[in-house]
Amino acid sequence: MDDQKAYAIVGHSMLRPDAREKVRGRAVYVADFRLPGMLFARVLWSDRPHARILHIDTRQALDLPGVYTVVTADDAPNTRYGVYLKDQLIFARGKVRHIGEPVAAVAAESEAIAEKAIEKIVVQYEELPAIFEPIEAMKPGAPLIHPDLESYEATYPKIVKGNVCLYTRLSMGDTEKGFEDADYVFEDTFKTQPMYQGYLEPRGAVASFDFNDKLTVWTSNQQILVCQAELATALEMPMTQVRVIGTAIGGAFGGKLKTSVEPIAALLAKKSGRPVRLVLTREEDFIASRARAPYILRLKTGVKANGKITAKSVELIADCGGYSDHVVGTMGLAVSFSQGPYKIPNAEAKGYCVYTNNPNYSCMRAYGVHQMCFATESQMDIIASKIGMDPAEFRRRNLAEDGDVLVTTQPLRSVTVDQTMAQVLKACHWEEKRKASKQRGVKNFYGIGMANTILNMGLLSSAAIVKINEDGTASVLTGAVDLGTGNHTALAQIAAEELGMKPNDVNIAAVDSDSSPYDLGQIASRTIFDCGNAIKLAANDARRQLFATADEVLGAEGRELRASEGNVYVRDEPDKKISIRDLMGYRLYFKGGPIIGRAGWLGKPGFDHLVGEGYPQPPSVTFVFGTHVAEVEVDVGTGQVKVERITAAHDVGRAINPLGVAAQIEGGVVQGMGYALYEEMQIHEGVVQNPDFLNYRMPTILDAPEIVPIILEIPEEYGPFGAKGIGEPTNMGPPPAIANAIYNAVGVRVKELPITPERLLHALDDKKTREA
Amino acid sequence: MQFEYFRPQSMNEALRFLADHKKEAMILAGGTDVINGLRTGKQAAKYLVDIGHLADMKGIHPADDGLFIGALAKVRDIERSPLLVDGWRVIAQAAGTLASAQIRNLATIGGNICNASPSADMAPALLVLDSMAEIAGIEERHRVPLDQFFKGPGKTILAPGQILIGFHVGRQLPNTAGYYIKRGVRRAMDCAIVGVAALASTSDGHLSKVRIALGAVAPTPFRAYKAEQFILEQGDLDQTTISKAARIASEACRPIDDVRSRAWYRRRMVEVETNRALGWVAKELKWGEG
Repeated sequence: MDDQKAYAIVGHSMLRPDAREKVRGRAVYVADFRLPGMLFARVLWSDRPHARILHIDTRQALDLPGVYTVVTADDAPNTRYGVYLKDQLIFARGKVRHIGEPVAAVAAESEAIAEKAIEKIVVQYEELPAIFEPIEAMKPGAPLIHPDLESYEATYPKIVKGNVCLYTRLSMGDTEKGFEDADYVFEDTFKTQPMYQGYLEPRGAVASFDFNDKLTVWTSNQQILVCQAELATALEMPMTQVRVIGTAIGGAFGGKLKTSVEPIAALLAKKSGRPVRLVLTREEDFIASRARAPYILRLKTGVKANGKITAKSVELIADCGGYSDHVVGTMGLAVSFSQGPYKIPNAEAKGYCVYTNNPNYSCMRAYGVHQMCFATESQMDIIASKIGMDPAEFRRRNLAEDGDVLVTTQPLRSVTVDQTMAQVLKACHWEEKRKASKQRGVKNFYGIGMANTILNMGLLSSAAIVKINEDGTASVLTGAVDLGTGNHTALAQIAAEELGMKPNDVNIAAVDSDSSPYDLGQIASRTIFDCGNAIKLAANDARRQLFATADEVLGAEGRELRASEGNVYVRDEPDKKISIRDLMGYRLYFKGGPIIGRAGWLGKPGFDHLVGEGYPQPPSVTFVFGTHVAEVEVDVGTGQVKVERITAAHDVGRAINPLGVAAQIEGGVVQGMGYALYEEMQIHEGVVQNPDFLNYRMPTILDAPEIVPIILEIPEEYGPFGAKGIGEPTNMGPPPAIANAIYNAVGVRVKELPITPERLLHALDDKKTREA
Repeated sequence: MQFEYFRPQSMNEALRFLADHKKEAMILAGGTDVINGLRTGKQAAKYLVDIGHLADMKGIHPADDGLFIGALAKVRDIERSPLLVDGWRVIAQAAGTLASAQIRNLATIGGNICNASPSADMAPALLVLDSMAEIAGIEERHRVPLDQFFKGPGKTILAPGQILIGFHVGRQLPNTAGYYIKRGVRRAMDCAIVGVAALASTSDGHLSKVRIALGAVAPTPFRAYKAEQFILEQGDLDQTTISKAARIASEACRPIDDVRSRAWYRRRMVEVETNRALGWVAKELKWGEG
């Protein structure tokens, strides 16, 4: 690996060029978007958790002046679609399966008229027995939410039964024997809550058909090319007739995947013959959300007295709500990483995804591994405490190394958790602080706790095209949108480094499915890793073509060429140089025509023998590690937890833009803290009780702890300039680290998130009763 | 939401309009509650009467008997007022806990009280200062003790056509300390799940006045008279007395389960926070130190 100093652009902090304009309100989001003759849409959502639709009467709505059209399932193809399991339709057909399922939609001259029209649609329902607990829904005889489940197409080896739409089982070694060999066996059950992504911009899309019946959709989606493909499927149109363009995005966090509002806007546009804009209100965005699915996690771990883990088995149950969406995928990753970053020779993992009549749950930052990490890292501390070992020492004795095998049977590589752990513990003075007195004053207690994280890195395909312009600048065509993470800045840095240009001379083009090459999307922390690789390769291809021409012009005769700051020169004779701009003039007008670099990228895991039943995920390309330490103060009078400091070390392989990496860590830590302590979509009988930012409490800046980011750069062989992604791992650490710090402070263990003052006080009371 | 908007030029014009339209008219001051109510459909009005600019209801003014706080005084101005010191400081301190700085810039103290939310942050602080609410109608003006002002969640004694003009806050004894504790989930932009204001005065080394007011634990903010009485009878602010008084206060509340908190937790927090608020007051008064 090259030394970091060798890079002119990569590894140097850059301010995001879009930041200033966003702060000034000049970025154009979907809600700012207008087309001539555009209509406004509102949606009628199911207000029943489970009911047969007997009749939908839209006549009164259509009679309202200003209403152009109403659409229902009758206007949509009867084609089921979905990422893993094709169980979804644009509008409820025959029955509704959750509150917040689209039943009908209206396009009108104004939102106010559309809203009135929605109120005039009469739906006759016949209530069906509803079920809200996944464990109940798994029992024989439970009402069936998808009676046709058996017939649905799936992208994974489908093992289904009743309301269980995914069953998977992985195993490795001999768990039974592993438990026999153990001196202690620990069994703990953990529960996590539905979490709303809480992006500032609610979902929205504008759809328009042109004179050739070609559909164009502008959307703040995080998977523009996947959105295009799914729209084509759902609308039964060829992909040539569906064009999707990415707008500015006000955050996504896994909540703006595949399609949601886009097909509705498209159907309205088609029927009305006018462009249609659909932007959800905040309440709708909650009720029809794709929130992080709640999990029940049962863990059984066997340990020797010397602290060596001999076996672990887990059983995970995820609540899908009405449709499987991404929950099936989250389960795949959750079971894969059920051992955590630890060497566990005998392991078994079972996962169930279960339909209920709760809202349509899905995924969020760090997919199912987030829920799994809370359970694993909490139990690590439970065990350490029982066997009388420091939690850091207990983890150290079990840390995985390269070559250790996951329960998927895939061997680990690029394991750096030993280093993230060592760095954090040193930086936060772990040893002294664990020994220090806990009590501060009468009611307040200090505690410190840690958690390690492991996550997959690299997921499926990306591609890029690099066009060198006449003025010596470059335009990069990619399917990658900037979610607000600043990834376009880092991607420009990658291209500029490879091309020998200034970063401001590289433009990452707006994403347009008509011209942007394939990309899976800005998910799975993959943008820098996968898109970055594709862009680096495409830029390299462009540079190769530039150099071939430069060799001619400069008479270099095959001597090594270099490029920097927009000039190409002979390495040993730097005075022999030509600007890329002049080179392009030569190319375009005398020789060879335009330069277009191109590349496709698919990370190869070098491993394809996943063993197991019903497993829905591809193998990982490589892995990414981190360690968080949380320091808290617990008020035993009120049960309130104040997070004072989180020290977070992440190995990012190479920080392309260190400023951006630090920002990801800071944002992720606060989001993880929200999940740990505050945030919960409270659902009662399928109804979201707190669909607003007053009662769904995300942390404010006043609640944010001091955050100490530690960026480790241990180059990854497969990463562009050695980089790995950082988006998701940053919000995995805080929940278990905080739970462990609370235990360290006051000796109580809360196994259910969020750790509200009520829950903590209950636990403290229980402890008092037990001790009395 | 649809309504007609009126912006009267004077108090009299406002009162006349309200007298003419009674229940059809709704008063708009800072708008931070009313606009949300209209937007979500929880409230409706045919006429919206914007009084936000009326000068006679603005500001904080020294008066012969103490202080007059106009109903249109901005919560942010109250928070930073140089007049609200010593015994009156609790009002400024409570103001600083309300919502966020942006909302405090718009919100008025009168609006916070007239909205009559059980969790209104300004209420407990005004209650412990025995504030009088001044109410104007087209033909008369009168004063009412604030603890008679609230009738239930969102309900006050204001009759259609009446306007809350402001609050009269009496002069406090030199040795007075008051404190407001807001228990929310977050540190800002939150509604209190319990609000406790406590205030005490001493003269010649004796407790001469004790006030405790509670928010968010009953249909209205209210004074915990029994707990106050208990302390006065003991004539002491030592820990034992405070603990017992806090227990009495928690027994006086009628909290509910809702999306923000559970009744049992609210009741328990009344005890914890009353204890702490009184403890703070005792310390501030240097009680038992000499």
